[in-house]
Amino acid sequence: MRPRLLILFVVLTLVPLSVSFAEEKNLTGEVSVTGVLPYIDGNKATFNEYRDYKSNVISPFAGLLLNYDNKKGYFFDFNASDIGYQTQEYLLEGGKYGSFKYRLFYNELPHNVTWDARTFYTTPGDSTLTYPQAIFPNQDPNQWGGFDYKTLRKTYGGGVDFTVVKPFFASFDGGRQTKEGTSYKQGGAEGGEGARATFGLATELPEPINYTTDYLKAEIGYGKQPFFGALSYYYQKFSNDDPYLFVRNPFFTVPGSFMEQIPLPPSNNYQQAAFAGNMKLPWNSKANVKLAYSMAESSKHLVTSIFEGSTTPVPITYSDNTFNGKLDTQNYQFVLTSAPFRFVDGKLYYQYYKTNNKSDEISIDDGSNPLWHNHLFEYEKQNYGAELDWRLMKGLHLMTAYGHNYIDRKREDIPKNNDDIYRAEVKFTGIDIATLKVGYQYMVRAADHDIPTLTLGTQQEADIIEQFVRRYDAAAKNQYAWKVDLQLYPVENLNFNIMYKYIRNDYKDTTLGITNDKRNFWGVSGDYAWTKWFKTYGYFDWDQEDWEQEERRYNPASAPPSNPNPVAGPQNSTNFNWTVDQRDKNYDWGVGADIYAIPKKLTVRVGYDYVRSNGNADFTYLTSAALTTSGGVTRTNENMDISNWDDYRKECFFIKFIYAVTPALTFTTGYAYESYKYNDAQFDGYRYVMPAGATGAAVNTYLTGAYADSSYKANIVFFGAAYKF
Amino acid sequence: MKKITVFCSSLVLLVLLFLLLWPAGAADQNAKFVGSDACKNCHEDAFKSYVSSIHGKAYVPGSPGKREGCEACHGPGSVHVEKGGGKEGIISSAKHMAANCQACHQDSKALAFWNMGKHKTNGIYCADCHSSHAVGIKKNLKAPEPVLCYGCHKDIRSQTGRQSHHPVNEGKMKCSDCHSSHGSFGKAMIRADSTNELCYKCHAEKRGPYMFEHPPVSENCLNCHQVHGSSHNQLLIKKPPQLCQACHDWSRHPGTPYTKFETFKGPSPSNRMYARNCSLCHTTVHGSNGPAGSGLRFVR
Repeated sequence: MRPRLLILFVVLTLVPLSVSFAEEKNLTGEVSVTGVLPYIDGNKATFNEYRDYKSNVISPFAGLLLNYDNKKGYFFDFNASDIGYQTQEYLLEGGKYGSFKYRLFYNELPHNVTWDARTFYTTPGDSTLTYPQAIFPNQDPNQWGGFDYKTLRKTYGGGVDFTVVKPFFASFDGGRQTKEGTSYKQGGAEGGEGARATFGLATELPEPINYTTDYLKAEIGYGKQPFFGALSYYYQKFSNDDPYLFVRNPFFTVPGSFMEQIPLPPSNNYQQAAFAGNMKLPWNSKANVKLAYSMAESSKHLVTSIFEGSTTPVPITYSDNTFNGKLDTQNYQFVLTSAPFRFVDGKLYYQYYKTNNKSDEISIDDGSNPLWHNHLFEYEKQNYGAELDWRLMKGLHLMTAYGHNYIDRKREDIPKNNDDIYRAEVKFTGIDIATLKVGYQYMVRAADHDIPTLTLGTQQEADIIEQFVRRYDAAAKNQYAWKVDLQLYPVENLNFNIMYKYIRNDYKDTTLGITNDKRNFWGVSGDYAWTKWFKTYGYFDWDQEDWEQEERRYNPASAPPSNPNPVAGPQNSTNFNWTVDQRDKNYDWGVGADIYAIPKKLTVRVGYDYVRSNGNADFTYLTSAALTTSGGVTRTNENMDISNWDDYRKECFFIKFIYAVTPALTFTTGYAYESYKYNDAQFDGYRYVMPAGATGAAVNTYLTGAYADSSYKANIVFFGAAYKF
Repeated sequence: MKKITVFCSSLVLLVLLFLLLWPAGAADQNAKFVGSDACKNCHEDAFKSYVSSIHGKAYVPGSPGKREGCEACHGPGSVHVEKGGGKEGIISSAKHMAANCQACHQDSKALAFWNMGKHKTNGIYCADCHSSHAVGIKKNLKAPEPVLCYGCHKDIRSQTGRQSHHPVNEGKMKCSDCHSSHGSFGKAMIRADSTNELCYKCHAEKRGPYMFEHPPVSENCLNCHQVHGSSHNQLLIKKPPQLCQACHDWSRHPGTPYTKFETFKGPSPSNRMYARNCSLCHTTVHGSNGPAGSGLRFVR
């Protein structure tokens, strides 16, 4: 608190100094302070996801704006906000018009996920996690220690642009970003390894985040018609101060400190050199080109042992104990634009993009499998196409386009795709009070398909089931998309807009996987300003996404051995086909107004926003034999469905009074209310220690509370003052 | 008969060509400059805002304030003054003003690839987003980001308001941090050669390269994430485990349905359904250097 008060004091003392500058009218600005008093009930971390408010505490948020212009070409602008808080930002920009510009910046961004999470590990956030008990950790989560899942990014740097030697220019930028805190992501000391030898045990782990990313950018170029060209270089270095997480496995049934070593994201560096340029050609045309080459590298010492079903770790032998990652990328793009006649514009484009994975292929001997090695992934893309924009008559445009995308991947299941994309759009602007756009896109994706060769696992199973599996990111599909956009502005200061979007994907060759998905979006908005007395706005959006998916559950251990073929295979209690249809309905609406109760003296600003999401998942087992009984309850195709699937409702209301005592001095006060109610089947009834099934004797899972109970309500009172000089 | 048909068709084509090529003017070719003081007489508020903007400063090299003033953008105003005002004889629409903006700014680095951009293709012009009369907003925007962008991109407005989102509405990120609204070589006008390259600028820990890559992740982050906002945690397009099962259908648990029965409150809870489900064990889906089979399966 004291540093913030000190900064606030310094800022306020700038006011009389700035007034003296202002008398010369070279320096203008504003100093402001707003006291915020929130009363937060519920999950304070969710309320503060990207904020820094303390419940039941008045927090003064100060801001400073300075604009200097010496009327001879030199200027600077300084902007500071949320001084002393985790959302603080400082930006200084300045220079000489037409000659050079500089910038210096510093900003912070918190990301709060869950506060007061719990764990039995004694030092959460550290790179070594252990607990004091001889065998199992404390099974009572009420006695566990607390910690926060939160991170804080700090970014600072600067740059300078030179344009003094026109038409040549140069830019240089550099900066650093640090990210510190604790995240949930790297979790799971997957159990099963160890004396218990039971598959599928899990522990949610707090991961230390100590990242530093440095970057440098340089660009020099020439820009004067008919030529433009720029050479650029970009360098980024990422460092992780915690390369490993050492975790004591909590599932061993004998005394001992069985430490697992988990690799965390490796430090890496990246650099890119590129040329981008264009040249004006006859017939109102331009040829554009971009050529870029980049390289990413990383290095990691590999973990050389792992617990696998016994208290003695199994050694792993590698052909090289250090993995060196290296990925080169080439990008070549050519675009020709042309407007040779008044009635047509055109564009031709071509792109070649290739990644070349030169990382180490390392042979691995883990004792239980034949020698095997990691597979390197890389791909090559070529895109080309043409667009034509026809001006048919006054205000009527017809745009037609064709594009082709080709990709060749080093990936066995779907190595190649060919996409043909056809697009047409009509736009009418022929009357002053309206604009109408109607667009349609049709895409056909063709996909080669093959059966992958397994590194680990049963190839025979793969040979049968993989014939039917298509992964949606690359599967063959037909896509249909419509868009309609109508804008109306019947009189001055009155605007309406209605928009509709529809996208549907049919995955025509898919038997197992996503078979189709579609999205419907409606958006309506309007605003009106009666400039003397008020202005008002309103909006409404509706968005519905539907996904249909077909899957097969099969059990190779059943007798007789199961056939995973969804068409010819058996249908029984452990081998069956099933489907899931998921729907997400999102809608949001809002209204707001600025009311000039006393013009130029008293303004009342009021607003309300409402966001709602309803999701559900509808399961169907395609054989009644699969509708078995668990925990004394028999499954039906109705009682397995989930109606609370990331459901939430968020409301925000505020009212603010802005009173201008003088043109320079303004007071504000107001009230805001924010409510967030979240309900989801995967977090409903949250427990920190879970047995296997409903009544299993042994612990199966340890959790820490990440994302649990995220609802909140907040009442916020605020008051402030701003002084312009 | 054939000759008459050919003749008529040619005539129709010629007429059409004539109509299409007929120059549609906005400013009167005979108009002359009248000076900014003449504009001030009727448009005092607009004049004040112009004078306080960078365009109104005569000491800025090349600025309208050093040349024709208001008429540098709006065109010679003599006809407009003679007619006592109105939209004829003066440039007031964004479309017709674009040429005047380009006359000064076409050599700017920021506009070098404007001709390639989606905004240009869709008939969006400079004055649709910028205004010399807008005071107090950087880059002379008519409204601050993202409000300005939401005016057309309503579906994006809806997405950024969802529970899992980048901090755009909180003012900690701007649309222009990722997109170049003036045109670029990237798809959707992003400021990088590929989606992943853009994401790695802030999320460098995901870059790898890793010993065990997850191909759809390495190829495109958008295979699993909805970058503007999602109703599902971690910006996912769909909820796991079904998201993961959309690709991974196999024996035992990958192909097993996880329903209401397997939630915390269900009769047979399973850690493949409750809480963070698949991610409780498969924690390194962005790539792994983990030991042996545990790394291959993204469990370490």
